[in-house]
Amino acid sequence: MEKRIRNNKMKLQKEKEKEKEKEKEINDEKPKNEIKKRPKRTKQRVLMLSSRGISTRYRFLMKDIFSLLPHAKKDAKLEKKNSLTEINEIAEILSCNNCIFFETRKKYDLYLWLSKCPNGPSIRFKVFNVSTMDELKFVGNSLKGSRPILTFDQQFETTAHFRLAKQIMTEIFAVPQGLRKSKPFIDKVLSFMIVDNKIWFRCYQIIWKEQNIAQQGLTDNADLNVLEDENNLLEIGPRFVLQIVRIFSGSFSGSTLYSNPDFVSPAQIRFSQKQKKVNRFYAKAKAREQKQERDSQIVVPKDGLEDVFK
Amino acid sequence: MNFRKQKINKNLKPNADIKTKTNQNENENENEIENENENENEIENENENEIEIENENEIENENENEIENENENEIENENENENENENENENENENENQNENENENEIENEIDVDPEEFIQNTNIVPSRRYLHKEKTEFINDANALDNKVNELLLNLGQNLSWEENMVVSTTLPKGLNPNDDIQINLEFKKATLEAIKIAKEKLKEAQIKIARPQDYFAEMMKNDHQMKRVKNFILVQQKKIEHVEENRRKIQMRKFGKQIQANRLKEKAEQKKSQIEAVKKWRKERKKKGETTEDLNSLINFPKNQKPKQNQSNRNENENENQNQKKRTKSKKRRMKDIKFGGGKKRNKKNTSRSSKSMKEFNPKWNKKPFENSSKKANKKFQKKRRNFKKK
Repeated sequence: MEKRIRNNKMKLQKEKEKEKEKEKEINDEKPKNEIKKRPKRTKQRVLMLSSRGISTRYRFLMKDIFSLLPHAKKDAKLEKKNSLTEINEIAEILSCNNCIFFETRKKYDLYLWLSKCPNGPSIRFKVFNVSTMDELKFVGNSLKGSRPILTFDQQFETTAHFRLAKQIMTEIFAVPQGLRKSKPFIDKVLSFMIVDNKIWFRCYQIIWKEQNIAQQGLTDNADLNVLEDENNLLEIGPRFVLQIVRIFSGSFSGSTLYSNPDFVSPAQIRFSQKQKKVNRFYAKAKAREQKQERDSQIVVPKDGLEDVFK
Repeated sequence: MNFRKQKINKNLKPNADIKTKTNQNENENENEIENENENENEIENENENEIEIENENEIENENENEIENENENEIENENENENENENENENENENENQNENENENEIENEIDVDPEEFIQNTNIVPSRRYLHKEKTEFINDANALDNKVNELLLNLGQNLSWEENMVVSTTLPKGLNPNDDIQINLEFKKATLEAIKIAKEKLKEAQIKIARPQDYFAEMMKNDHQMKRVKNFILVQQKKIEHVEENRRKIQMRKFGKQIQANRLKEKAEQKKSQIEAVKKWRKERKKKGETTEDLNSLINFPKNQKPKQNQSNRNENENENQNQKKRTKSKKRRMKDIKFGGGKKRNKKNTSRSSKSMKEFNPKWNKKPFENSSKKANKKFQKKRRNFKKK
């Protein structure tokens, strides 16, 4: 009985709506052919993955980046058996254009992959100096899903590999307009700067001039040393440093287009540190041999007065 | 000829040095390219365990070719060494034997040298142990990279307005030291502030709303609990700073306290004098004129909000001290027992995040007891352990 009532109500509502539409059409003087043209909107969806063996700090980093990107989709951890090319298939299933893959090795080396999924290029970075949003020195806060302003250093345009990196990062980190989960006001800045041939990532909250209010009851503006006539920035979010390792022409496959000569793999660093300890032993052995030689060559001159007091 | 297989003889031959150098020079000029190829191939093969992707992507096709090249190169090297080293001897067998001996001698003499120099000066292919894994080939294909960028831009489409990806570019000052955290963060902030100004103008043109009104409540990236923690952290830091400054002030006050007291006493005495004189005058005038003179109170100038007996500053200090003392009238022992009173159990240990964070029980100084409230037995055990550890 109740269902029938509900259905009847629905039918009535629909009929009312149709009548309204008809009235509108009659009242409107515009011809039907003029449909409102929506501006071209880009479709970008990001797939976020990690490999097995990821540690807590990098898991929290992943969580933080996921909250920065409302157009992202998470998926289960990728096992070692599955090769990296399977990520492309997963992205197809979830209809994702882009992919961020966190590859961990030996539980404390993190490599970050950014790729355009079906055909496009992919970049592998080594990640240093990770600080997550959880740390108490990051004072800012912003809307979850607001569209960020991206600022890039001018050095990104000097060399070709940085230009590619810039293009891929804009497509991944910029939230597309009109997205369902995105929020209206502009609250944050993501900045990518180049120092020492590495990309430094920062995320700030913007306090515009018009919002000269004590920020969420934290402290007065006087304590934050802020002039009321200027915009202000508070750091929100994760911080990391990226060093390009390689750029591939396909996503997770293909020939290398760029390999970084400055990159030293962490295994090599550990190896050289061990070698220092080993070389200490060799240095001692060497010194011992040299001492033996020197001692054998020593000729003590005869004292004329040796036999005096015998 | 693999370095691994050779055995090191302990008999040193001093004359072998000269020969090795001449051999090296002759060999280097003609075998440079082949040596480089050899090194690269072996390096790439030995990187397999560390960088799997390169094998999958790059070297699947190339490995097969390289292995063939390796074998060819090794054979060629051996032949050329034999021919060049000793032109007098015509038998190849003798050449081979002498080559092996000389190379062995090279190693024996050059144990004293660093392994890196050793590798550079000989044709012997180094083993994994001594390998520095220096790659000589680094790819930088600028054309292909630019082509990829253009492809991506095409895919995005033309007529993309600025508001789609709000990208701004800024400049950083040169010569930043990456180890100097404070300076770097400041410079980053400045650069992004400049970028925001540019962005704001463009946003106004596009008529996008910028500032969030106070009424607008929505889910934030950090929840309220996190923001409370941040707030407490800041307050605690400020309190610490204030506490430190107050202590400094007090110490200084104590040093110059005597001077200040003396000044105060002087001022009091002067005030007293002036008041007494004023009263005397008033009396004289009263005698003369009668009761038409002014009131007493108007003559003696009491400062506002001050009672004549007590000094304001002294009073406040006394109050503070009393409060401080009140906080600590109970001894620690008494306080611990009070906590237990009314429901606390004997064993109050907890494994919470707070307890795991607390550094209460760890002392950096060796000589102090590690556990304050525990029994003597636990301390004895600990000290025993420590003694044994030190002996080792």
